[in-house]
Amino acid sequence: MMTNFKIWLLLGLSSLFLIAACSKDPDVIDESKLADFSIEFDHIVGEDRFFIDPNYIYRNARGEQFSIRELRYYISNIKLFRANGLEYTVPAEESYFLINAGDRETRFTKVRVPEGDYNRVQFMIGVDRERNMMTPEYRTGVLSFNPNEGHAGMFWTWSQGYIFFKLEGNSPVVTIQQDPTGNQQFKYHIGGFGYPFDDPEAMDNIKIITVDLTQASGDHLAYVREGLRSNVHLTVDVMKIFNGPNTINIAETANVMFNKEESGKIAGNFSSLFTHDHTENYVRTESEL
Amino acid sequence: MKKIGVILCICILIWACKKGTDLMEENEVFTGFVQPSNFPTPAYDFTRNPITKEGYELGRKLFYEPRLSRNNSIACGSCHIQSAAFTHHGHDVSHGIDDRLGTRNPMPIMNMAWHNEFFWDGGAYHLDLAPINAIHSEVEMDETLTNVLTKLRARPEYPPLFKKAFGTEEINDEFFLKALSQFMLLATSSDSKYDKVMRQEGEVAFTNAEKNGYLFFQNNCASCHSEPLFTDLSYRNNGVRPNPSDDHGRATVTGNPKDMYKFKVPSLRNLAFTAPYTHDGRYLSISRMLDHYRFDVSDLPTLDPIFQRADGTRGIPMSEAEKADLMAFLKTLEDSAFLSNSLLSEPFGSEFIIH
Repeated sequence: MMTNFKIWLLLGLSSLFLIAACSKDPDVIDESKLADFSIEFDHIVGEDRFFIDPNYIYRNARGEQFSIRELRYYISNIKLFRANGLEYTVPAEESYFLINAGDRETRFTKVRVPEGDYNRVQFMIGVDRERNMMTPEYRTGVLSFNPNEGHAGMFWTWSQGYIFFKLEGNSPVVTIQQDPTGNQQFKYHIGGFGYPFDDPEAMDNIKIITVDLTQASGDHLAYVREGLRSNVHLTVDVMKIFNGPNTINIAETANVMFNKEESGKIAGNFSSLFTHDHTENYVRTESEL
Repeated sequence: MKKIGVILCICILIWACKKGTDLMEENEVFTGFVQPSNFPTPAYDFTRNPITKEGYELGRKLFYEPRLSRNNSIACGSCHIQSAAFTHHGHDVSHGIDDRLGTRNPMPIMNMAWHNEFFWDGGAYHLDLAPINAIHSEVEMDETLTNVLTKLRARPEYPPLFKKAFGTEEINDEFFLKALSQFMLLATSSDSKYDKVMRQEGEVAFTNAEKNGYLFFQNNCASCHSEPLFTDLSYRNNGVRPNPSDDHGRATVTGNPKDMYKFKVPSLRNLAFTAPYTHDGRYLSISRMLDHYRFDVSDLPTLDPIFQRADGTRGIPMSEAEKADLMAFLKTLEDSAFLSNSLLSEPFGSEFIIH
């Protein structure tokens, strides 16, 4: 009788304990709650740090020297995946970011996503077809022409569409024919959203990048919890534009804009730029990052 | 007696002045967008940018605003002149900032509500986005829309106008572009003799020459210059041999070799006022343009098959009599009400004079 009572007491107490433990446990996920999530784009150039500096000289695989004057690109259409296959798409209108490598304030794509443990993130380099065809009221913020907030020239105005990715710099291998100003500039402006849509051969450089968060050493899934922020920290190796799967030589290719073959080669290197370095979870303030 | 005379004089003067303003207002009755009964449903979605008097007035001011160009010298109205059906009369190619020349003859701003794509190559996919092309073109206005907005924000007269039109003093790209569209959407040309005949208005009828010309037109021209817009809005190569600037036309936008030297089929409305002709303004008269189809259609790889004839020749065979009749018919597409519509003219008191 006494033993029975003790067992019941023990069971009761432990259940209470468990319940208490659970309610305190940060790992109880409530998918109805939205929390802060960001991807950080941390630029490097091969094994060098990234500088916008005409005197900081990089060298690509061909041995061509170059410096970087400008690097901007659009990140859009952010999606997150869980181990069980469930996915969450950030609402489109909250999902357009313009990364300016020369402005550290722009290095995060900050969105709100449901609580959860995510093992994969996906995003687009560029701006999707639909948005490229929309009227001005749907082109707000970084998609607009507005002073201080707009796209700052990431738009082709004569054959209209967003420039997805812009890399400009200088290199001593650039000839006067390639840059008639004599400033030895190289300019890569990559865009093209497959217009006209009825032409399968139309220039389409929209690239979707998927980052697997299980590959970094240690546990670096994104644990998204209300009141805290999870930040997926990517390195973006700009050198891969030249030394990616497609080799780009500045001497041969100093200007790439509205050219399907050449821009396709550069866009083909995009996915090799992004490497998941680590994830910072349960972040309280941005200063921790 | 003298006193009475003076008072009388003043009264007459006041009356005269009053009458003047009244007349002005009478001329400028705001009608909004009017759907011509012989036209199809517009392509433009007015529900997302309803035309208001205030929106149109702002658009009109912006259309004639030289601050849209880099050195504040060129307005939209500089190269799109109303009396030339909003083209650049007397210029083969557009004559923009710093006297720079483009490679193309400006297209008229006319019946834009029925177009889905804009410019000779279709490089803009919406009327609201079309002005961006001209503002940024280095041979036209050589400015950026962003900087235009900055300049307008610095002008005290604009925030109240934006507030009246859109309910906020904020000057942004959306409201700027919507206002310009509201103005351009009112540039409807639908009151030519042709329209009146089609709508069976009053006693208006074609002459025999016009009737014959219309028949010839229907059999030989209407497949591309289809009624009632007199363009099917497509891009075609009509055998105009490339000039030394080698403008690739539609292929500039699509990158598709099949689109080489194709240009948008222009409307034939108000043809007499939009000289010179073709995308590069090489032909100075309608007669010469018609002779192109008779004698000069070049055998280019992307030539529209419609110009290939069974006997191996190219073009549109046309006798002198047929040509005269056709020209008589084309004259019926002139719409003097459009050219003198005061709603579309430079606003009264504008500091900018179009020359």
